Amino acid sequence: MDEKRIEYNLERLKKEIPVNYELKKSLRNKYIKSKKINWFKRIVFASAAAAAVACLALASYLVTPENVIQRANAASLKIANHVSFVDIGGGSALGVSEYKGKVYIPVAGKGLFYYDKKGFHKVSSQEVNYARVSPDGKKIAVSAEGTISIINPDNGTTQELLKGGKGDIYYEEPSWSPDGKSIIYARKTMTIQEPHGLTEKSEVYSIDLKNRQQKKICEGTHPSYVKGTGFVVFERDQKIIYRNLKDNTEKVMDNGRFPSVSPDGGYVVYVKTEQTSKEVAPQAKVTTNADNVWIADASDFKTKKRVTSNYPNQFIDINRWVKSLKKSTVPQVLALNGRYSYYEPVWGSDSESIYVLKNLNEEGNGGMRLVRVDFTLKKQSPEDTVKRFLQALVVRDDDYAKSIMKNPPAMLTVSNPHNVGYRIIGRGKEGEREYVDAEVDSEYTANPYFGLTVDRFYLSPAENGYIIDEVKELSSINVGDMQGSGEVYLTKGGKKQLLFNDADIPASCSAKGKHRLASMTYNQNTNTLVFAVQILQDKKQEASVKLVSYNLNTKEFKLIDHITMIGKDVNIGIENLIIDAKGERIAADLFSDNDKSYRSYCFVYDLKQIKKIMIDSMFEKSIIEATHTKYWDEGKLVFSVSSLDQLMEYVFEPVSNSLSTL
Amino acid sequence: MQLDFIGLYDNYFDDVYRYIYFKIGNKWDTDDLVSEVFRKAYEKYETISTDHKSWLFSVARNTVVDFYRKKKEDYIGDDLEQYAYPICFEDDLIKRDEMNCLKKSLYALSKEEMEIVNLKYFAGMKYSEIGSALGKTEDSVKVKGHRIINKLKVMVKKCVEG
Repeated sequence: MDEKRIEYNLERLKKEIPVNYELKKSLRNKYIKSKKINWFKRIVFASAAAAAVACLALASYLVTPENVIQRANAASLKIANHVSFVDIGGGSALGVSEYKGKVYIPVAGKGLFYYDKKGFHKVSSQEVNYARVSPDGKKIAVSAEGTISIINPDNGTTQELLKGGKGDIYYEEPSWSPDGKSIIYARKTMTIQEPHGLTEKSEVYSIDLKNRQQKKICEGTHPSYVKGTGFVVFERDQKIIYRNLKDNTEKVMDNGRFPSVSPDGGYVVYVKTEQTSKEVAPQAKVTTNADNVWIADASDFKTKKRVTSNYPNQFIDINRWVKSLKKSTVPQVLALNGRYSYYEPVWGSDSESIYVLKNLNEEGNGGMRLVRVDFTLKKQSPEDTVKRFLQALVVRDDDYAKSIMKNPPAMLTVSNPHNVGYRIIGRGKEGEREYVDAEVDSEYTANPYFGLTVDRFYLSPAENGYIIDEVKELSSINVGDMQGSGEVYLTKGGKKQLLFNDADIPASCSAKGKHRLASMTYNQNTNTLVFAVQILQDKKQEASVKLVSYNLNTKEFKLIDHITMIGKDVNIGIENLIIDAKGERIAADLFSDNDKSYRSYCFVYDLKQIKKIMIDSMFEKSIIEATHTKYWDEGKLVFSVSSLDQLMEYVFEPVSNSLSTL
Repeated sequence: MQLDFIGLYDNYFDDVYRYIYFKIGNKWDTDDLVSEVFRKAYEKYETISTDHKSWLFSVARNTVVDFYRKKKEDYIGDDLEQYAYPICFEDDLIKRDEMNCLKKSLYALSKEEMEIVNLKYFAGMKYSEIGSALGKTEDSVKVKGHRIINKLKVMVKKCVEG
């Protein structure tokens, strides 16, 4: 029984609660009669930032840690990569934690798992919703349902540390001291407060792991130690606060939530909600409260940098709203939230990446993804920028792609045709302008169509390196049979050429019974078209797929493979087919129509040696529910794996026959 | 956006009624309280310019608390909530099907948890509105809400499987 069923049943239950409609009618009549006519001025609700925090002793907060390491300040860090690599599906925010390549992810109702290049593995079946690996990687502090425990990642054994959840005391958000000897955490209690009802109080406590002594530090939540200083950073009333443990003085560093310190003590990452305001008509304005992830220098917050981008979540057309307003002498406000909400950012063990949960705030359509942002001191080159842009197009992360463009169009990608690959082919300068040339491939799911454009991306310098300010299409090639006529054409430079028609395909590569041309992909280097013949199910045959290559120079057809079964299932169909940059390998997504879950299997073929690999077989001891191709990144295949409602990205390197994480 | 009182009444009467009924457990007290809530709302609503629903439910919650205080005048203490949520569904809590197990499990939740279920599922409020009504952040309410659903899921499963 899953969560949706519970919610569905709660809705049904709601209908069992009787409403007194007689009362509703009689009371309403009373109000209709005595309706007031005067409209009073409305007090504008100013959604101000939090109330001022009492200023405490402002001792000098310029801390010099014991060993001053020459470290770059936060503002000078550049974003090397912004990758969304796990789709958590529906669900609430979790605390993930990374240690040396293993990302520990709690899965509601299933336990604690880790994701690494070998797959997705279970650590413990214990219910967990927040995890933090110790500095030495030997223990994991977890919390769930108000209890904090320590898990041994090697054998999955658990030891309870602080038991809560009943009597309304919750122990949450554990964080390790740099020496691994104590844990700092939030102790939350619910209290009834007159006259409103219930409020939650949270206090920061620490516990010594040896003698189990608990000590209260202050009021607040989400604490971390700042390594190399005598400070603790925590959140209170949506502000990031530093507390000096020696003299108990405090200082507010910024507005924000979820502060977390890097293991080397260099940086703090947190989420800050900021309000922007725009006047859209006289006396009418739109305000947006949007989250973003920030990093700051841990020692003194001297420099800061915003690491993500966000946009207003427009659920209503602004012009319609303006038209619907009645005349008023007082400003009227439409309050929007951000398109994304960010939660629980945390540093990786190398202090060079952060992991954060990003939720798409669409009514009924949202989704929580785990994103990793990698930092570097290296300035991003123009090629890096275009590469990141094209990767974003392929995975349809339109918001991220737009953030690297100067004047992005409203719509960047659509579902079909869609981008399936790219190759950087050159770079140069036109006068003062830098440019990068790339080939970009498009396909149309399960249809015989392949498009290749050569685009020139013009770039200008920007804060993170470069930004794309113009794209010019230099040339394009189309191959396919979009009419379904059985004739495959090649269109190049405006000229259309018939390559072959269905009758030309030799019997070995086709079928006598019903069939159609399906996915298609083309490689310019080898001038080879690889396509799938989808043999359809009818009285004489089960559905199956023939993968065929056609050399445009020699006009030769060659059968690559005829897939009639996957495991024990017959009735095979094909969804995707993509070819790598050199034309040496193809990746295909196949499925069986007899499989009720329609799970997709990803296969990689080496065209020279006619070798075939089923991607699933590369994983050890993992629960794989489906594999899907995504795109070729210069000889490496990026694909996704579904496991327990999570969607994770991996990279397959055929030359070394190995897997790695994205 | 501006909403006249009758609009407020029409939109939210059912939600307020269900919210109070689930909490109080009987029709007569609920009728009185709902009338009281809308009377107060009628007097004050023009001064409220945002998020009418959250505000209306704050009024509803206060009205219920006042009701408890009057009823239990001799009780001096802070746990008035313990008087809330007497069972209000038709009693067939012996059959072990999904719905009955859900009802049973609901009453096994803590009062605070039931409050959130009541506001979200029976009164149809969004987490942001519940946050405003309870004086908490939307995020903390959302997290609690998800926890509660998971808890119910586990309890119902155990109950159904016997």
